[in-house]
Amino acid sequence: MNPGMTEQQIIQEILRGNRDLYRELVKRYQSMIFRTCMGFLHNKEEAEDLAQEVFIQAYQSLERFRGNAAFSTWLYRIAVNASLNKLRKNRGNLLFRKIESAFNREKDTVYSFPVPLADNPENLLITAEHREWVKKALDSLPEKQRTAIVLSQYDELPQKEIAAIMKITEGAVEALIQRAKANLRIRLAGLYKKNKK
Amino acid sequence: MISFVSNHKNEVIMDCEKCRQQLPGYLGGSLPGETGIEVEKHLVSCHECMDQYRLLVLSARVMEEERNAEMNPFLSTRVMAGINAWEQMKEETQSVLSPVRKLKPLLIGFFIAAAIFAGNLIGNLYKFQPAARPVPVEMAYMDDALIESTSLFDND
Repeated sequence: MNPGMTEQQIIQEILRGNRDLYRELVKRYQSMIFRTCMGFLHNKEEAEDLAQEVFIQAYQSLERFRGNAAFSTWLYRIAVNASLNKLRKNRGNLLFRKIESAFNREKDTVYSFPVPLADNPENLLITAEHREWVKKALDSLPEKQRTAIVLSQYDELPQKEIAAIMKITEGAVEALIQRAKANLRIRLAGLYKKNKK
Repeated sequence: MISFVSNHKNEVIMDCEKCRQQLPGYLGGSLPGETGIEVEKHLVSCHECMDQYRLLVLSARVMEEERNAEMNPFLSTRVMAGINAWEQMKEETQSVLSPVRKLKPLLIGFFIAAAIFAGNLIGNLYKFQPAARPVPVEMAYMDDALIESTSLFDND
């Protein structure tokens, strides 16, 4: 690949049939897409599978990329939509599993033991239960708040880019992040109290 | 609105609600100096708010841990293999469908002609027949159908 080529030129080359150039684009953006998927799914294997799907999906619809936004923005949009779709699908499966477990009369073993928090926040040890709390709290956020917080905390994107990805204003992004953080704190506190009892 | 309460040492400290609202900012280090000090003072004296702060630290750590998770180095290879398989499938589908596509106008014409022919055939299966009432034997002489046509006598 010619290092002087712009992304638009690379895409044109790929569309002309130079398929191997797409590998370069994948290498360039794979870690950021993986991080986004990880932020939504919290599972390495699932995030890798989804990142793979996102790149294949992007390749299949490359002809529709008009270049109005940056390629990375377009790719992020695909990743966010794919992640949200995956979560909706998982939620359906979860509901089915809950109904199934209710019929099997299995006991819910999550949060059955209180997890002590260390005195000094710096000495906090992250346990499987802690991870489960955070995952639950993040999963309970509304989709828009969740997208904003994943893009800001996992991908560390500036608000301007998040606004472009979500097609909203920067002010709205800031408000979403603030609300997400507040909700996260409230939900974590709720889970902690529930666990403490 | 910032609200303050007094403790027994006559010092003004932040109330719990205000402190909790400021915690994400305190964790991110984005609070102005004075507010940060107020939050710190409150955290030292309030265990419940300290617990909430610990939970926020915890969530930040978990997110950081997930953010730094190592990705499969062969992801690009997996993606390219997936793309090659898709392209191959697309080519195979096209090779099967291309003769069909070339013959498409002919096939459409054939099916229209066949539909017209079949319609015609079905239409001919039913022919209109006026309901013929059977004529009783004693009234047979009155059956007009048996009377010879008068045109036979019109030779003159």
